[in-house]
Amino acid sequence: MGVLKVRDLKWKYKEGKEVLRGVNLEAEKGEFIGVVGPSGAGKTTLALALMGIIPQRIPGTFEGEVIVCGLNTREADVSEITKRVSIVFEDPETQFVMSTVEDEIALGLEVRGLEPYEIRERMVWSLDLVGLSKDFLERSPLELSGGEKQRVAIASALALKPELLILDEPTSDLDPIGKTEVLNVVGKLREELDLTIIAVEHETEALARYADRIVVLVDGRVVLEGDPRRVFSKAKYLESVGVRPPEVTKITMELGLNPPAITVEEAFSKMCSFKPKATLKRRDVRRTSRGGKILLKLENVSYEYPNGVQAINEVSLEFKAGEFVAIVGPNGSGKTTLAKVACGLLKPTKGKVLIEGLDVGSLTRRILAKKIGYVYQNPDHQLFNQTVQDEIGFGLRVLGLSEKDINEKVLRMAERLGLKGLLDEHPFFLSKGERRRLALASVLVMEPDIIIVDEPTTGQDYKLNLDIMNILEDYRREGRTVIVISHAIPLVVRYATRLIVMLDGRVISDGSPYEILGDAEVVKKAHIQVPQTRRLVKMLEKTLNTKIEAYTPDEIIDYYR
Amino acid sequence: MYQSRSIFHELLGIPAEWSIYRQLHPFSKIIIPLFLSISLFLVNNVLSAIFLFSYVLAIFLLTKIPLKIIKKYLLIVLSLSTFIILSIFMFTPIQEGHVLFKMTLLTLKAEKGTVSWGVLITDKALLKAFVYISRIWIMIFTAITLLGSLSDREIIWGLRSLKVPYSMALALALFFRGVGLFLKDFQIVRDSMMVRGLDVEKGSLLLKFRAYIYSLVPLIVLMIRRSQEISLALESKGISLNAKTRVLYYKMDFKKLDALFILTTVVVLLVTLYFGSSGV
Repeated sequence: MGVLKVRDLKWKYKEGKEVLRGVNLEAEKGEFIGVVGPSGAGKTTLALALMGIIPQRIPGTFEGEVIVCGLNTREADVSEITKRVSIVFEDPETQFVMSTVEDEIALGLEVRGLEPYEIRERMVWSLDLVGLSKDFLERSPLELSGGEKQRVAIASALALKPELLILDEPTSDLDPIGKTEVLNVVGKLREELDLTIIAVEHETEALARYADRIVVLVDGRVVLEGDPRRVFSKAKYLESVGVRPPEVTKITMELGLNPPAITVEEAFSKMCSFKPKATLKRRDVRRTSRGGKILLKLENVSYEYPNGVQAINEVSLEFKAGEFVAIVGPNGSGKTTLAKVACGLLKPTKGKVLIEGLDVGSLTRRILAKKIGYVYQNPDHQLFNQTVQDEIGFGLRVLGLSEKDINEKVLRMAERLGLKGLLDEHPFFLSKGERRRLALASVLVMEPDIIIVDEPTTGQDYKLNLDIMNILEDYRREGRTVIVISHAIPLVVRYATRLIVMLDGRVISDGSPYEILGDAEVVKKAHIQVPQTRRLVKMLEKTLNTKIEAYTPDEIIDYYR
Repeated sequence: MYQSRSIFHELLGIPAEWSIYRQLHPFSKIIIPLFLSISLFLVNNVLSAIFLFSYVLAIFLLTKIPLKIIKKYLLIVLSLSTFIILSIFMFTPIQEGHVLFKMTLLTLKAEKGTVSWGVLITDKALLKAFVYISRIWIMIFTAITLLGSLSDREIIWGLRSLKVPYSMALALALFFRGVGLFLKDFQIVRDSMMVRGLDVEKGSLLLKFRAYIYSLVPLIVLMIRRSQEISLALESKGISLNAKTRVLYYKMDFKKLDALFILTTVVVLLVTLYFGSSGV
C-alpha cells in the first residue's frame, strides 16, 4: 500500500532559487528509504514538503503534488498531516521546546486531545522503544547527551504514532556514541514497527545497513534510485556530486570484486582469500613525522567551570610546527574547553599554557591573534561584518595593518578559499559551505602559527568537507600547526599526523592514527568510530597474518593492486 | 515530590530546594507576584514599605531560592540607591523636617539675588530615600520569587488557568528559553571577536560599545534562524497559532494552601493600602 506519492514536485522559495526541480518519489508501507545528496540539494526542503509545512507555512511557488498517507499536502491542514507524519530534525537543541522530557513528549499529545492516562502510556511506550527508561521523564533535555537528546526527539515523534517517520540528518550533530545509539534505535524501529521511514543522512554506511532503497538527490532532482548495492556501486559518480559511498564499496569496486560489498563483513569475505600483492607503495611520511619546533605547550593544565564542572584535568601536551593534529573523544570529554584554554579565552584553574615559551596570560589579544587562531563550529557565531571583504579584513584592521596590505591579503585569501566573486556580498546571504569557508578565511588571513578548528565538517557533504580539510592541509604544509576537533574519524585520518584521544577531561591516548586505531582498549573506551577501512584491515591482518598499514580506501587499494 | 526546573535554574543555573511555596498551583505563583507588584504602587511611607518588604521577604525565603542570587543584583541596587540618595539630598532637597546636615557647595551671586546649591539632609529626606530603596528591593524580590518558583510548563498551566490562549502561553514560555540561548550565543560571539584580536575585556568603553554593535548582527541572525527552527519543530508537532487543547496532561488541584497564600497576599495588599494612605 502506498504511503507516499510525490509527483513532479517543484518548489521555489520566495525571492530564492528553485530548490526542488521535479522530484518523483514513492514509498510503500514499512519501507525504509535513505535520501542522500550534497549540501543544498533540497533534502530538508523535501522533508518539509512531505509534512505540508511547504507550501502551507513557508512562502514560495509550489508545483506538482504530494500525497502522504492519503492526504494532499496542499489541501489538508498541517495539523491534520502531523497526525500521520512525524519528523525529527538535525539539531537536537532547537527542536526541544520544553524543559523536561515529560513535557516535551506531552506537548504533541495534548493538542491531539488524548486523555492524561493515555498520554502517560504513550510516553512510557515511546521511551521504551528508543531504549530509555521512564526515569528520563523528569530529566531536562539540556542535561542529556547528544544521543539521548535525539532519542528523546525520536520518542516524541513516535509517541504520536505516525504512519510515516521522517528523520532529517538525525546523527549529523552527534558524537560517535550518539550516532551509534540513534542508529541502533533506527534499526530497532525497522525490526519492531511496520513503520515507513524516510531518513535523510550523510552516513551512507548506516544507510547501507538499514535502507531498502536509496534516493540520491542532486540540485533538486532525483538522479539515482535503487537498492543500496546498486546505488553505492556508482561510487565515482557519488563522490563527484559530494556523496561519500561506504568505504568498503569503493575498495571492492576499485579491486574489481563485483558485485561490490556494502558492509565490512561482505568486503572481508571477498578479500580474505587473496594476499596483498605489495607492501605499501605510497608510504605517507606524515604518519611518522613528529613535526618541528614546539609552538604550543600545556603543562598540567586543569580547568573547572564556575558551576563546579571539571572540564579538563591535568593535561600536558606539546604541539609542534608542521603537525596536523586531530583531537577526538565523546561530547563532554573536554576537547572544546582545551581549545579555549589554549587560545587564552579561558584561564586555566591550574597549570600553564605556553605559546613559543610565553605564558598565554601575559600576551595581549593582538599578539595572541597572530600566534593562535580558533574557528568556531557554527560560522554564524563569528560573522559580524556587512560584507565578505570587511569580514576577512576585520582581524587585520584590529592588528593595525595598512589598508593597502589589508586589501592585498584579503584578495589573496578570498581567491584561495573560493570567495573572490563574493567580496561585496553580505556574509549571511552566503550558503552554509561558503559561510564556513569565510569563517575560516577570516582567521587564516591573520596567518596564526597555530590554528584550531572546531568540528569543521559537521552537517556538510563530503565534497565540502574535503575542500575544508585540503585548505587546512595546505596551511600545515606552510609549516604551521593545524589542530582539528572532530568526530569524523574516517575523514581526519586521511590528514592527521597525530590523534589525541580525550575522555572525561583527560588525555587517554596520544599517537599516530595507526597506533590509536590499533589500540582496541582506547577505541572502546573513547567510543571512537573506527573507519570501515580500518575494521576491514584488522580482519585481514588477523587472517593473513600480515601487517597492513592502511587508513584510507586508497591506501588499501594500493596494497592489493 | 518532583519539582521541575525554574526559569532561574534554566537561565542562571541556580537551583532551588524543595519548598512548600513551589508546590502551589501555578495560578497562585503567578497571581501572588502580580498582587505584590500592585501593592508596590501603594507604598508611600516607611510603615507601608516595611510591612510590604517583610511580607515579600518572607515569601522569598519560603521559595528556598539560594540567597546568593541577590549578589547578582547587588550592584544594580547599590547604584540605583546611590542615585536616589544623591538626587534627594542634592538635587531635589526636602526642606521639611528636622535638618540633620547642611552644606553649601556653590553660591552664585547675581543682580536679582543669590543662588546656592549644596547638600541638605533632613529626617524626612532620609525616610523618603528609605521608601524608594525599599521599593527597589521589593521589586527585585518579587521578580526573583516569580522566576525562581515557576518553570516553563507552570507558566503555561498558570496562564491557561487564567484563560490565556494556549499559543500565547507557549510563546511566553519559549521567550524565557530564548533568553538563555541568546546569552549563550552572546558569549560565543564575544569570544570569537577576542580570537581575532579585539580585546573586549580590557579595551576602552568605545571599543566595548563597538563590540556590542558588531555582535548585534550575528545575534539577530541566530535569533531569527533559531525561531524559524523552533517554529518548524512546533508545527511538526501540530502546534500552531490557532492550536487548541481540549485537555491538559497535568491536572493540578487548587489546594487550601493556595487559597491561604492568595488570601494573605490580598490582605497584605489592603493593609499596605491602609498604611500607605495613613500618612504615618
